[in-house]
Amino acid sequence: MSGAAPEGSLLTEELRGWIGREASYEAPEELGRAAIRYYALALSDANPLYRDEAYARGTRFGGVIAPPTLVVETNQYADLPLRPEDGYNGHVWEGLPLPVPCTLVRGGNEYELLRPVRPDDRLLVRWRIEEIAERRGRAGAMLFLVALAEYRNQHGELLATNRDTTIFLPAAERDA
Amino acid sequence: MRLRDVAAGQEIPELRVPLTHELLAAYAGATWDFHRYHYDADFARETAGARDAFVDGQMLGALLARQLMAWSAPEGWVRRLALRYRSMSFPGETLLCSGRVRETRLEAGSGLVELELAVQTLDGRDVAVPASATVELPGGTE
Repeated sequence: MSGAAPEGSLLTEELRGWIGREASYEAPEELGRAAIRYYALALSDANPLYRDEAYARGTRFGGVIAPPTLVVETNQYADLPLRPEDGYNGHVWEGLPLPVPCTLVRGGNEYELLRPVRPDDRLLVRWRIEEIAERRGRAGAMLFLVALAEYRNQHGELLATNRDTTIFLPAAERDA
Repeated sequence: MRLRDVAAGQEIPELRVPLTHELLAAYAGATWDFHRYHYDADFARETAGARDAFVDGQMLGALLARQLMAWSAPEGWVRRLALRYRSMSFPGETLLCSGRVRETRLEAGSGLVELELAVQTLDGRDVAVPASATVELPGGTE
């Protein structure tokens, strides 16, 4: 445990300065029917709402829609290259000034899915850091970063929000 | 399904999902997420201390949404979904998604169903707990 960070040392002034920071993305193309069917297929989800236009038109949705979580899951909008070290290609807070090397763990997600997303929606996404806090767990001090993503379409309609909690565990803690 | 078909305390049909490398790879591809955690067991071991490639936590929400949309079809819509991740899950394990209606209410003509949900392994380990959702259904006037 020699590398463990003492309480209060992780949340530096520099890191606190990142609260409120934003990152925006605009998808280069519409979501598309193929991406919707692919997502449903990956989940073995045979619900015809996601593939059968004639069926979907007869429901209150009026046409094919995407499964509820596709909008908050896809990295399609980000249009980023694959990161060489691990292949990741979604949004990250590049340059976040963590005071010690950390392992990143997903904490949780809260989605508001305000309206069904349709094949011709093109996503405009804005991420914002809402909160960075230090907490003490059984394993020692850790950082919580809460970010809010807002997903709009090309008409400015708010489709969904995603409150995403990431936990940063100082690397020395995990190996202890 | 209509709001009148739902009552507090009702359980939704459980969903069992055997985890396979194919599922992890297909989900990673379908979300444009090429992180090696989801298909490269050696990389997951060396960099995350995991015993194998592991499930993207957000896939658990997708599975709950699949379960809720099937249960409330064809009118239902998952309006809100919240989950906290408790443990990694791996190919070879089977996930058990379960849920129960906590309350129902009518709001601006829409029926809203609040549910408590859980994702666990078959042997009872918590994977995403607690989880909760709001499903929107046509209200009593339709």
